[in-house]
Amino acid sequence: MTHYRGRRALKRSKEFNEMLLVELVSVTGGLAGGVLLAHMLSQVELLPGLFILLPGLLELRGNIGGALAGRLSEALHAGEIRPHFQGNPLVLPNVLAVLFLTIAASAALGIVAFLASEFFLGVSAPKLVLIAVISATLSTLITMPININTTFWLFRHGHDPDNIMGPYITTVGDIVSIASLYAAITAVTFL
Amino acid sequence: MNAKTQKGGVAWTIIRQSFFFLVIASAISSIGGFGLEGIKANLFAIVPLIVIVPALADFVGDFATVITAHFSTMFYTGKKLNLRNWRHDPEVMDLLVNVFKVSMICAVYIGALASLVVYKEKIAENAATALKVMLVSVTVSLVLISAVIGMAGIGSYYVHSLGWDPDNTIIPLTTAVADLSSLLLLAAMVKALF
Repeated sequence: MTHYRGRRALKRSKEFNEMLLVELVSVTGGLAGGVLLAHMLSQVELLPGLFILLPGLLELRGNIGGALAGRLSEALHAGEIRPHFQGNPLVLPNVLAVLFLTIAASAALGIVAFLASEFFLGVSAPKLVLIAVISATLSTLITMPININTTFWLFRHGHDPDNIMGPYITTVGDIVSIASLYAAITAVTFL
Repeated sequence: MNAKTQKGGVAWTIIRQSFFFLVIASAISSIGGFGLEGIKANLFAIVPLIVIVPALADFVGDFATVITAHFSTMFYTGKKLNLRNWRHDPEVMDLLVNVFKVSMICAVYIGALASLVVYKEKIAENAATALKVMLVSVTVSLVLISAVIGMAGIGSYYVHSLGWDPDNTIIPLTTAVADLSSLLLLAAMVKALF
């Protein structure tokens, strides 16, 4: 019993340390993203309705990436796959699903933002749809390989991806997403 | 990705289970975006608050992902959970206690760091504004994290009982509701304090 309690306390303490460290890094990354956002306010001001798009866009990457890491982690814990890219039966279907979901969901988000700004703000901004799709796709193309590799790497090194990947994805994703949004706004503005 | 999933094709199953929830999540988040549009004038006037928006959204969403992923793994590895007796389950209790402790530390950390950043970067006009930023971020964090813990835990349990993967469904839904609530709460506090 004492041995069990000792093991339990050790596991709890290890998980606490993993969560705390990663969450502190994640929050710091989020604040860095916020500072970046504060510095691109002039562009946000130029496009009415962009604020409607912003929370969904930031969240989309976390939702899709977090679920991807969660699915891989489940299969790793259950011993169904090995933590390597090559010969892994789950990687390709997940990559395809993530790409499809990114494009489809960001287009839906863009349409919602466009319709909302048209009806409620009285501003017609069809560019919002293009901005949503370009920035979400760009950020997924950058972050997805990093996410898959990191999930496998963490598992290989004895860490639990469930504790680390969610916050990790939002940290990397926030900075990449805001930079991608900046790139998409610049590209669409020049079109 | 069990046998049932593979039969229908992994990619198709993921898309089928996730798409609807992602669209709903996006629609919910857009309502939060309205909250931001509504206080846009205040946000531009008080730029420091922009700094904490991504961190707050992340923070609450992160815990939704952590809790759901843990529950999902527990179910997937064959653990039987009883929702009524969750207090007597050491694995669930350890997870919830850890999440709560980490979230408390992070709530204070966000507030302190945000105040410091806006003060040092001269984004805030004075120390009082920086302190208000701290008050906003700590309050929003503490209120929402309690709601997210319950929502992710109970939601995962019910979605699993329907034979679905909580990773595909509860993560988008919980983070969307958390995002919406955080932005609305943020908007309300901005109106009240600034």
